[in-house]
Amino acid sequence: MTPRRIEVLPDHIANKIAAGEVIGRPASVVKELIENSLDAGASNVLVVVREGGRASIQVTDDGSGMEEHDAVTSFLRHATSKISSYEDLESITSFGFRGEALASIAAVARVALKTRRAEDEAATVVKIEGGDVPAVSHEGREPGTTLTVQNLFYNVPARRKFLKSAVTEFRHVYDEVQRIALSKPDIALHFISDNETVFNLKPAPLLQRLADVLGERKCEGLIPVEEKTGAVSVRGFIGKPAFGMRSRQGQYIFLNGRFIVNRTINHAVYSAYEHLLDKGTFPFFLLFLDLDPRAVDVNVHPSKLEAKFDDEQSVYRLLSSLTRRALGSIDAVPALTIQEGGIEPGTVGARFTTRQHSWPAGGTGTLWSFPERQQIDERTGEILPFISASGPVSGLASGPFPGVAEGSPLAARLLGTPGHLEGVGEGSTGVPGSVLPHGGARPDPGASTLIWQLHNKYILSQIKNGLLIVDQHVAHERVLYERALARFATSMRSTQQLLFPYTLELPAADFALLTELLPDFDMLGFDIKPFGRHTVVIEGVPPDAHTGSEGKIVEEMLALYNEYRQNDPTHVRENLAKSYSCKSAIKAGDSLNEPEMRSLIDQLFATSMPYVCPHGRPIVLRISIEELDRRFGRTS
Amino acid sequence: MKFTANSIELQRTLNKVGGVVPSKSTMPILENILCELSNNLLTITATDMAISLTVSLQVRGTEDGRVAIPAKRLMDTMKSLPDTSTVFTIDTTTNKIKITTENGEYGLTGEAAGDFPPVPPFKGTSELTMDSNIFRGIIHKTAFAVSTDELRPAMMGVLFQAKDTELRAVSTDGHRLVKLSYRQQKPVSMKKDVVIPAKALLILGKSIDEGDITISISETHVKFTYGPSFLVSRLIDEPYPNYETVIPAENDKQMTVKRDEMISSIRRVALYASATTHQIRFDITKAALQITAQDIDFGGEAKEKIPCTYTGDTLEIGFNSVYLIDILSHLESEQVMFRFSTPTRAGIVSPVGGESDSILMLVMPVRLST
Ligand SMILES: Nc1ncnc2c1ncn2[C@@H]1O[C@H](COP(=O)(O)OP(=O)(O)OP(=O)(O)O)[C@@H](O)[C@H]1O
Ligand SMILES: [Mg+2]
Repeated sequence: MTPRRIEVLPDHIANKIAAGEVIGRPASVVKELIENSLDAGASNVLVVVREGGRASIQVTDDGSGMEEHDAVTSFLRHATSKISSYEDLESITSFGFRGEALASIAAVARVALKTRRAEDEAATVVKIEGGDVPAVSHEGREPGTTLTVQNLFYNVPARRKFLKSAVTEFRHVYDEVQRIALSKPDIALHFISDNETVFNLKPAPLLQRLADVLGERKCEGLIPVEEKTGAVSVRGFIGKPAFGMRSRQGQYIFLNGRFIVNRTINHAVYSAYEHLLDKGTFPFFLLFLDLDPRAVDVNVHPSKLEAKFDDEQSVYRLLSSLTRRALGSIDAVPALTIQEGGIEPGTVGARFTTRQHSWPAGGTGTLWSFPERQQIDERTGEILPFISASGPVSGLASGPFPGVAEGSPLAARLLGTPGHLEGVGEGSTGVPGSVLPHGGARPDPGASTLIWQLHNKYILSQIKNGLLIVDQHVAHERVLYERALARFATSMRSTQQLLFPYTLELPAADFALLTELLPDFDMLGFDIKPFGRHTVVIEGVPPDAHTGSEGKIVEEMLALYNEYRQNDPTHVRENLAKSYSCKSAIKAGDSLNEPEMRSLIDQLFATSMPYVCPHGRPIVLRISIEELDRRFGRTS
Repeated sequence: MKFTANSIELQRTLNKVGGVVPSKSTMPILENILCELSNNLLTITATDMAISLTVSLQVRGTEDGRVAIPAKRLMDTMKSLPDTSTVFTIDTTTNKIKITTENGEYGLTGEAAGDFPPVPPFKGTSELTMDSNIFRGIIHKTAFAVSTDELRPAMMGVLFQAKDTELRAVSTDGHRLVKLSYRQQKPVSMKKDVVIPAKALLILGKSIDEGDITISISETHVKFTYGPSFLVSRLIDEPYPNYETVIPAENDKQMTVKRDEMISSIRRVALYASATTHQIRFDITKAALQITAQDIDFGGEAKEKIPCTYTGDTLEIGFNSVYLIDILSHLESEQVMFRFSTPTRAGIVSPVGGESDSILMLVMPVRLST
């Protein structure tokens, strides 16, 4: 069945193979053995470890198996069936290619190989201890191969000493098995540690496999991506920004099926998130990168974790633009999920943690299904009502005419109208609702347009499938941030000139900074003129700046800018835009009336990223009606 | 306590004080109105602690007494009744109020009159009396331009100044300004400048009737007395910005337009302006004013031309259309004159021909860059 028998590579080829340590710890044994099983065409793999692999590791597969001669040869250095020529080395399609793994393992452990091809009567058993002469015998078994590795490094005390605790070694083994589980959803993978099943995965579509391995809730935070350009194709998932993780743990790139670590590639994805992520958090992504094996070299490092791309730039660009688009286009509204024992902000901020020994025996019978329907809902059904029902120019927002401009001072900032005093209208008792034009010019003032303000902080609105919660401050921040960036980008700006120019005296350092930033402030729409030592006069502000605090806003922006600059000295304008939006936005505690809330939401959903504020905080949350039903015990 | 009143008359009276009643207050008692009956006079007081308004109404009194009645419930009841007579029977020990009409009977629970904060004692000094209609006009033309920003408390009120025989009222929000001068025969007897909260003025504007209004001022408060009603408001104790220095003297580019025509034109064009900035642009030439708007964010543009007479060099200047409409619609004359200097300096707007009082408005432009 094996297309080729194992041959020892001639020196001139063997010398081309990146040399070095192959086996560092139990996890590397596990990895090598599973990869061999996969290369042998297995569709069922069983991994059994004891004491985190320190005591024993056993990998059983239903792959091709080997005949007797091959079984013995496989333990020789540079003995491989996977390549035979230099050209083969240039276009590797299998995990293995060095013929090193088994030899390296056999040199430092007690190894038993039991293998049978389908066409053979009996299985060959080869036992090797510490690289000794193999003992060969025969036994019965199903077609396939079992490799048992015991007492790793028993003969290399220096190495054995450096093994970590069983728990730590288990973690490493777990990571390896998990990566393979994620990269090969079509393989049944059963993983047992110390007589306990860690997971038992049945072949499944990718997303199902992710759910089985990572948990269903993690998958709600994933955006599917797929793209093919020229020689490169990418598919997989990227995590919504609000689902950022505390470490780089959740970053998977599978190059032609092989897990690799490549800083450039990771950076392409990571940088596309930009400010969407909190400081210190990292995006989750799992991407299958497929390209012609000739266009990439995996023979870089003995760990086979690295790869060299012929055209790294185009891969970078592809991943970067793909990620950007995915982040911008999809509704990244995190759903609030309610768990037994109380409400927790669902998957928002929930970190991907790998739990040891506690995975549900996944793989079978989950109720979970591909959330395609949900995404369609999210993209159209749930969010769009806001956008489509009100149109870009909200009838309420554009009401400069008598009776509409009623409202708080915030009207000026949200609606661009000067604030009018509230509560003095005809017959008004100041009771909410009595002065508000209800429904106004909205085309369809149906149930979907209900809107409330909660504690002067959050805007609640009914949406098609539940409740949408918007944080008013960060929402407005996002709106102002994008407007600020647009001003930088287009030089289209305007300045509301002030009747009473504001004189601002600054500490020397701030004055110097402001002087340096003056052109940028100008582009934002400020009209600031130096006025003697350490003093400037503010003669105009952007039309959406907070009226009345023109001096304060400049001072506060400088302070905040200083802070941002510490973390990211390169992006001057982004930092300035962030400072501006933060300081100019309405605050928690500002009371909004209905037209103001609607206008804010319209403006928010007209931005390119309505779900995450410039600092990475979520802007919107959604509680589905199902969650509420579940919470109220209304299970249908 | 017992009296009979007509539902419509009572509703009309309640409407005058309704604007004072706070909707949300840390003091729930303020959501009530104080009703006091003495013979046939029912006196109603509402306060939000900064402003208190007392109005009164002739009713058929049976038994004197005082009680605080929930304002909203009472107003809603009166509003939904037909023109009918209502009998109020109040037990002033339990504060249970019973309203009997031909339709039926309604019971509500009030609060003890003693719990209602008393109107602060007022020791007025200077007094000024004028026709209510004139004063209502002053309010109408100034109060709209105040700031609603609590960061600038002085601008939340209207400045009243006496200059010999002239009573001057000034309001601004930092982007526009109104200066109104009312001249009378004898000198205006007001010893100091006062800043009166616009909210008090707007409430006053809704409740003054025909006749005279008398304004008294104390250290901290102002009192308006008109007929049997009076309103007491706290003064804003903050220095008013030096408005005189910002009124330009050298604006020599004069444009005269028909007011109505301009308002309608701006309204139409502004529909196409950005919904958040409301920016419009004037291109002024000898014979015509071109008004344009463009909404960069969502697309859309509009352009109109109206005739004008103009004496300067061609000028391009931007404005927030809301400010312009506000200003123009608070003037009365058929024609208005704009005086400009540069595209970043204040424009002056004033009526052409006779308005009863002399008025000048300023509007700051929006500097446009393209
Ligand atoms: N589970 C298995 N089933 C069938 N054949 C196997 C299996 N494991 C190893 N072999 C055979 O043994 C050979 C040697 O395996 P080994 O892992 O040492 O090298 P390799 O996989 O070719 O290269 P690498 O060192 O890169 O892993 C393989 O080429 C393969 O032919
Ligand atoms: Mg191998």
